[in-house]
Amino acid sequence: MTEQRAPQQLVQDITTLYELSLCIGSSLDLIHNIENFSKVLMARKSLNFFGLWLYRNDSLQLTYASPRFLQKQLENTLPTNFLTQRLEKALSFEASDETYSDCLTGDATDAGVITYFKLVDIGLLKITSSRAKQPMSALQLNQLGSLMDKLRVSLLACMEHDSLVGEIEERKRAEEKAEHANASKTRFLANISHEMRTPLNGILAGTELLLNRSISPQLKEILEIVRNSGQLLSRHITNILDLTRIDSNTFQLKNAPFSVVMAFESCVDTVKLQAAKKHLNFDVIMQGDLSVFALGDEVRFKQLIMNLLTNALRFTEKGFVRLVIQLTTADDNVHIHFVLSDSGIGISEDLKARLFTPFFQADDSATKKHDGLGLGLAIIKGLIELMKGEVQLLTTAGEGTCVAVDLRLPVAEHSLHAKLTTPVKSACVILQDPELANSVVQLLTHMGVNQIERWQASTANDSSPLPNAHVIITEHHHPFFVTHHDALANGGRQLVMYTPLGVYEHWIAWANQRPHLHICTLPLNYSKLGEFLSTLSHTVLGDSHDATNAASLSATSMQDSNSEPPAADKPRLLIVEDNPANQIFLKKVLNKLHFDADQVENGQEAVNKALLQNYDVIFMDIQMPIMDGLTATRLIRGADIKQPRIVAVSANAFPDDIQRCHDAGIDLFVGKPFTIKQIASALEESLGKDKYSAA
Amino acid sequence: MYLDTVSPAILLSSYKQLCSNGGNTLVMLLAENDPADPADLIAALNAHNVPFIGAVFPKLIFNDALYTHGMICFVVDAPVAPLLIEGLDSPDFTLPDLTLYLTEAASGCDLKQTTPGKCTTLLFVDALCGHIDLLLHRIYDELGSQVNYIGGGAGSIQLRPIPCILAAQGVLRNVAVLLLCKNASSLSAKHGWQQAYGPVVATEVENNTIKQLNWDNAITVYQQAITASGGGELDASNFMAGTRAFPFGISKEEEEVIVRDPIATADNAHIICVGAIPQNASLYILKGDEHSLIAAAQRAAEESLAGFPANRMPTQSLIIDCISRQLFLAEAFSREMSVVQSVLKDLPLEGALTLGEISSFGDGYLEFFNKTIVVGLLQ
Repeated sequence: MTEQRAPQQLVQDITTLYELSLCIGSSLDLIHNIENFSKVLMARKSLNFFGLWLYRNDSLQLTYASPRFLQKQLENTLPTNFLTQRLEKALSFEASDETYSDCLTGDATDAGVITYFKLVDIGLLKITSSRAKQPMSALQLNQLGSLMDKLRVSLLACMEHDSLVGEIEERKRAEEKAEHANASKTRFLANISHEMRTPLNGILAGTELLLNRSISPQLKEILEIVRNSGQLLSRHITNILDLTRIDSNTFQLKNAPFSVVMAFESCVDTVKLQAAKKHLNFDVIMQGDLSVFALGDEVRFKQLIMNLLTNALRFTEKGFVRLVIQLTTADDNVHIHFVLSDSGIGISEDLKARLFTPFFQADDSATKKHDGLGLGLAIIKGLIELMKGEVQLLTTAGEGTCVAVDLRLPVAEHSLHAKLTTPVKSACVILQDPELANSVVQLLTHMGVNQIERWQASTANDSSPLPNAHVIITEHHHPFFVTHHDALANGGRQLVMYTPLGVYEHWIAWANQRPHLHICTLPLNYSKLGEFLSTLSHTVLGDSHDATNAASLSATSMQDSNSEPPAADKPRLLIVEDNPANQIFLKKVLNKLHFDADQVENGQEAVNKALLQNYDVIFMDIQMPIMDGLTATRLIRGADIKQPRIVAVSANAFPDDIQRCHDAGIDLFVGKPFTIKQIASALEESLGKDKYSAA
Repeated sequence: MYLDTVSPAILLSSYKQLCSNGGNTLVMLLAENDPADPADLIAALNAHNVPFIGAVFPKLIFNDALYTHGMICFVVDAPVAPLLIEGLDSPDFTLPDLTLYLTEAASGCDLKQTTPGKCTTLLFVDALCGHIDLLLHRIYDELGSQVNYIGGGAGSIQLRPIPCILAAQGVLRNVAVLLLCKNASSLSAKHGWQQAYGPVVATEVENNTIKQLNWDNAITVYQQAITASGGGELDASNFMAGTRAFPFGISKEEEEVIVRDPIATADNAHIICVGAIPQNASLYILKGDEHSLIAAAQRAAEESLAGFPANRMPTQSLIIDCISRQLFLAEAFSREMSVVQSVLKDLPLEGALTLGEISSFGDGYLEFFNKTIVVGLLQ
């Protein structure tokens, strides 16, 4: 039967629905959305109560109630049996109607006309009106029901939004937690690094004191190992401290004038021995305004350069390391652009993104060839960011790495007074590397040398006429120079000859007899060349043979002592250790215990040795290049030989590490740093008391 | 009680006299033009620890006459001190914890009693504070329909902001005072205005300002509606007078519409009303006459009297009638008072002409009315 509504009522129905419809979904906030709807509905229908329950964790929970004070009273009063059994879509009844007594909640909202609307799958709505004269008609329920469908969709959107907001907040909390944890880690590292430095300083200072005393060569050798190891540890700790300070934004850069060229050259001087030892071609090309002084933190600038250089040298076994520096000044700023390239191991594309992460090491396997904590690049990145510079990295695994850095620092006033001049009027440059030759020509021009000849190294030979220049700058291996060096001297010319560090000693002995000859080491040191040229007239009068380069070789002997072959009845021991200091230390300890030992540097060599000779005891390091100690042990255990006792000597001393050693077939474990007593005890246990005592 | 002359001494003496019949808290309705300084009255009451609430209204009602000076005062039985709600010039005002207030007051009040005979909340608010609707919504949210509400908007007939609420803290602006008392009450609110045109939709509003009607210039649409309803042309000079007979009505299901009184224009397009207009509300343009308005007043009195518990007799009337209703009825207003008086028989009429009337619909939702008479009966 169709319900008849008066025109006035129909208009009212329409306007009610219109108003209610427009107030739904006015906010993505769930409570705001419900509140807006509730206000309009309550005002429009003069309701006493509006309550909305939503399913949360599979149970209906009162989400919103108006008047609000009823919220607490109503939390557990919903007749859920009725809801699941009788409420299909909507239901309206008078509280006094006994037919619906099971639908009452027994609280203050059981008054007047009560109407429920089911919000499919998400909850339900209850409204009560003490002013309504009768329950809502089917038409009214249907009309409002369609609105409730819209409300339901809107609430679903709000809940989805809440869920997303919740997720975002959860993520934010997790990030904050991670940041907090990172800050704690930073504080912890800063503290522990500091606590470690204090006793370490004591060790280093004490060692230095002992080294300055009159002591035996053997003791000196040991003490030097202690000092070098301590210094290495100190550098690691300094790096950790620096990184933590960069991370925690407590790193303050100083602002003082410094010579950019001298800062570079100071770093180059420090590492060139390392390059020479590997027989690398180490070139430094400087272009532009070499006399410029910048305003900045020289110490940190050098730290940046040192980190880059040591990285390049560490990861390059053969070939070259080349540093090209371009200095330009404009608008009171010096633009320092430098590119450091090498022919080292490079890095694969997938690891590149993680390169600047603290503690990241491209090779973190047990067989890694290169030491270090993996802090260098992280510090480089931090320092460059602090200096507001940019760094770019081009690298290919197996082909090498190229790092380009751009920095802009203010020009210091000192630059005005820094320009060097020379009395030299003419010079001839005969250098094989065209870029190097160019940069030297630039320097000479800059210093006021107005006649500069530049000979192609490839075309100048022993039949070429002698150059007329006052100063000739060339390289040791050039045939022209080899043939004409004495003739050049007769003409009153000065020869500056560059030679790799590795052959410097050979040439310097020869040059001692020739005052016109100045032997300098590569890479070329521009400021020292400039200084030499500026004071040349005095130098010529004097007797200096190496005015441009004060480099001296401090050869450190790392040679093994020539131990005699062990006697046949003596136990045969083998040390497998890649770290030379540890190798020597262990050997000294064994010597002190009246044993001698063979030495190898990795697991592969250990297996080869063990297959050829019957060793009684092998002291096996675990983390080594080429083959690690565990693999070597397994191979030895699988070989048909007289099985040795194997003692692991490792810094990885967690229970899991020890267990892995035993699983591989290792008999005993000695943690690093070890004491003589520990080695003695392991040896006694391995050899047996008699054999040990007999030694 | 009507005091023709108001002074601290007279007030204290009257309070003593009123208390002899029961009650403890003084309720004061002070005429806007009375020469007494409200601050002196408050100081005297505070000095004698007299709990009170009060407000300044354009005119007072006593029996069937209107007064522009003097004071209506009576006492109610309030178990707790009055509550001051401050900062109503901002929507971010802080509402004191009314639930706690109710809990404290509940020791002496029968909150479970259903109509008729609920206890009563008296509420006076600065009519020009700007956020009355929000205030009422939040109060209802806290107290619900457990109590009856009656009160009105205080202030000057000139619609200029004045300190108009009397509280122990002083004579204040932008505040409201609320008092929960044990006195049982019955209420009825009627106006008698009839739908003449509409509905039109308030498509753009801001609180009590209608900016657009039917997506068009609000004044243009309103003018068309008045013309269609038999009214004349409006301009800035005759707006108040011209619109007096054509208020807006907010549609309400199965109830009289809620009247909104247009009082000014802004920017040649906007209409400012006494009381907020909901966004997207369906509005009617109303018109009325002496007969319909006075008949409504009579119905209000009858309904209120009928709503009072059968076994009790009201001892105090509180008539809250709108000043603009009186301005519209002019001399006929005295007939409105007469019909109410005739319904209430021997109970003296006491009340005020207000700038907006506050009442629940009987025991239902709390509303802010315009151009309406609220007949409240208290025991």
